[in-house]
Amino acid sequence: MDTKSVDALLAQNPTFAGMSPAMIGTVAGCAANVRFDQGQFLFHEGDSASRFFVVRTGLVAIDLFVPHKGALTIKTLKEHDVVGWSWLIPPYRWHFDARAIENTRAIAFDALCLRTKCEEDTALGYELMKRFAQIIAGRIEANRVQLMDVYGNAGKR
Amino acid sequence: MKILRYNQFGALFHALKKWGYRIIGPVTNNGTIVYDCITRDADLPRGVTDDTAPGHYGLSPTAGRARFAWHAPSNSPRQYLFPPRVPRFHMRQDENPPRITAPAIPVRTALIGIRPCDLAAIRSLDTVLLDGPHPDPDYRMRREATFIVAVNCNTLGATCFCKDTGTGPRAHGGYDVLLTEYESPNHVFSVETGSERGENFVSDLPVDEGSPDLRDANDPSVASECQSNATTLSLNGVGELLAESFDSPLWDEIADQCTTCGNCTMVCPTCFCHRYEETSSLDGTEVTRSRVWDTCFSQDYSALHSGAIRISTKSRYRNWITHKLGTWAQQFDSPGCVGCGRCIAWCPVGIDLTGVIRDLRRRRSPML
Amino acid sequence: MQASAEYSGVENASLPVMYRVTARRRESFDTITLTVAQAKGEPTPAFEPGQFNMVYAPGVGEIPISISGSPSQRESFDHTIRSVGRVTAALTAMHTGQWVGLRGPYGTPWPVEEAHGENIVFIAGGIGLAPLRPAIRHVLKNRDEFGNVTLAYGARTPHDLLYTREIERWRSRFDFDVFVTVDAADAHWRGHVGVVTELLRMAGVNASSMAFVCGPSVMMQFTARELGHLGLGSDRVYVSLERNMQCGCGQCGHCQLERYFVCKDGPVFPYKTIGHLLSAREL
Repeated sequence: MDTKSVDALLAQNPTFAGMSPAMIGTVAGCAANVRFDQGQFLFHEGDSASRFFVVRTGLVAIDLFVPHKGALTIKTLKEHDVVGWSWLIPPYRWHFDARAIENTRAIAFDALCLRTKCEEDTALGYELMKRFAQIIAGRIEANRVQLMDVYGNAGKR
Repeated sequence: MKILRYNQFGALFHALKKWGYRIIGPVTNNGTIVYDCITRDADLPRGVTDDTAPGHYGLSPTAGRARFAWHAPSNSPRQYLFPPRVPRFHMRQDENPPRITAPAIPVRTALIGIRPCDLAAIRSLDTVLLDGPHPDPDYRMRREATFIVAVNCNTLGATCFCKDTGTGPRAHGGYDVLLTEYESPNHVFSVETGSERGENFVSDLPVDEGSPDLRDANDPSVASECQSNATTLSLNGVGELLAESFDSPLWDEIADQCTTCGNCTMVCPTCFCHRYEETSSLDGTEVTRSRVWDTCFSQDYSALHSGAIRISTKSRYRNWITHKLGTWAQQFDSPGCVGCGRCIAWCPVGIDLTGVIRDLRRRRSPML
Repeated sequence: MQASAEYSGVENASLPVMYRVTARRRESFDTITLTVAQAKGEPTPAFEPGQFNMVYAPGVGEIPISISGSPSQRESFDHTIRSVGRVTAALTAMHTGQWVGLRGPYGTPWPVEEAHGENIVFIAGGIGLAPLRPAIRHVLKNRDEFGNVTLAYGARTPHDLLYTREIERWRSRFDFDVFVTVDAADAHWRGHVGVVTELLRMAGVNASSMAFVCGPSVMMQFTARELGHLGLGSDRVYVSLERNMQCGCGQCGHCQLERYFVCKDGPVFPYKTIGHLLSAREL
């Protein structure tokens, strides 16, 4: 695996921007290139969150399964987006399905590998925690707006 | 100057009828002065004045027989120039295309006894309803068909603040004929004209040339002698004051009293808000669309399909006073408030908008 | 009283003109586009993108509806209407041959002239695409006069997307970047899911863009905020506001937002002018 290209990719990725080259190197050390065919699942709800992803190309759907209704896509993630933050939060299990809508190439990061390195190097852990806190906050805010159902037929009172 | 003697006041009515006017003037009714249909001089009040205070309106006798010793009646010329309900058009839906017809042309009307504050209010309504590319057709027709006989005020009522709004107690234009009542040395009316048709009209009246004892109605010393028991309100910077006071806790306090009844908007001579209503025959073939008074205090006033924007009482009261005393002047080249004081007298819980402004000023600058 | 069968002059100008429904097209489960024309085929009054007519459903009521067709189309007006209340329910139930009354056009238009030579991004939320469509069509018709042209369009679900066939035609152009997202979708949807602001970075919006935004008030506010983060000055962001309108011409009072009459000082405003007013609660 060509770790150099992963380093370069991470350095340019908005989520990891500003991290020192050494830290990026450490993170890249837990990385592997992966690909998913259209329709393939990256992970299922309930699975152990053993790895998270950064999308290189393609489109990934985050789905909620609603009984009697089936899968509901509540978010799509595209090039440069991070897929998955449950790997950082106990009990380290996925709360949603993630499915490739298109043929997707991504970088997969070994969660256990990275968590261990974060425990050893708390400065690295803090840098990652800061960035993932922002991702989670952004997802919550977007969900709140989606919850407002601004386009909905609010004519019913 | 021209003089009309007290006993010849009836000539005014003869002349108006001769000129084909229906006459609207002040009468006493139910303990108030109100503009209503009248036909003769005897219908006018004699020796009556009004006592007003926040939430209070009453009449009491004066010494003397003055016809115009009162101030702002319970209604205003808006009742007749911009009536509460007028048809906009009629439509027959059983024709193809549906045929629209205009309503009847309003009858020629003379308004007698219009006070200077209401003249200013009429001018303010003109800037809203006549200026610009879309004059309101009904208002335009009524305005042209209305002859105004204004009467100067010799005193200020307790709730009047026309001096502060610069709209009284003396009239400056906007009338066809202007009368000023003098009780001494003789009981007479000075007569001035403000338009060509006013001049033509006055030439039909038995007016004499005035005696040199009578002061000019526009003599500034006359106006300054008006009783100063009236409320006062400095309006300097009131627009900025209201804009800065958007979050003032005062609005919550007012909301505890205000019932959003909208009386203030009903009696106000400048309020122009209206909505439209459809009425139709049972089989739906004939439809009338009418223009109807509306009030910004109603719950639905700001309603869109998703709900109203101003839901709380506080927001509706704040919106009304801010428009009337603040943003109106930024929208139109006229005052929104003419200091007639009707909203003060006719508020059932006695909210006084001059007091609200004084309170806002105090809260902004507590040391002053 | 004298009766008059006809108004004249200014009085005539304020009566609705009757238009017949000549076509009806269903856009989504609650939204239709009506095409209306005058009885004898007279040309419609000229309008500019962003303007609206007061549309009268006889016996029911009259409401403001943006004109959603091309300004160059003078034989009829298009109005895209979503059924949310009494009058819109009556209008969306209408079929060809029925009559509506129109007054207008009223209101301020999208500043398309000012956008000459600029990169334009159209940002639409829900039915907000309807008042933008005349501007989009005008820009595409005069494509050379503008820089990059982009559309970011968000709706509730794929079933709520308007003008789907026209959007496909827009997508097939190489000189128009079209991004569409929905709030939620089932597995058949292969496009983006998320709030419309997430499309903006992808759309390459930056400080040199001019933005025309239309949608629910909340959506326009958070869009303007995101545009600010991307470097767009609020003087380069234009929004179209919606308010209760009874007259359409600044006399009934209902549409006032502080000193502005949304019907005649708007509905299109630079965000710089009214942004702070939108965030004042119950103003």
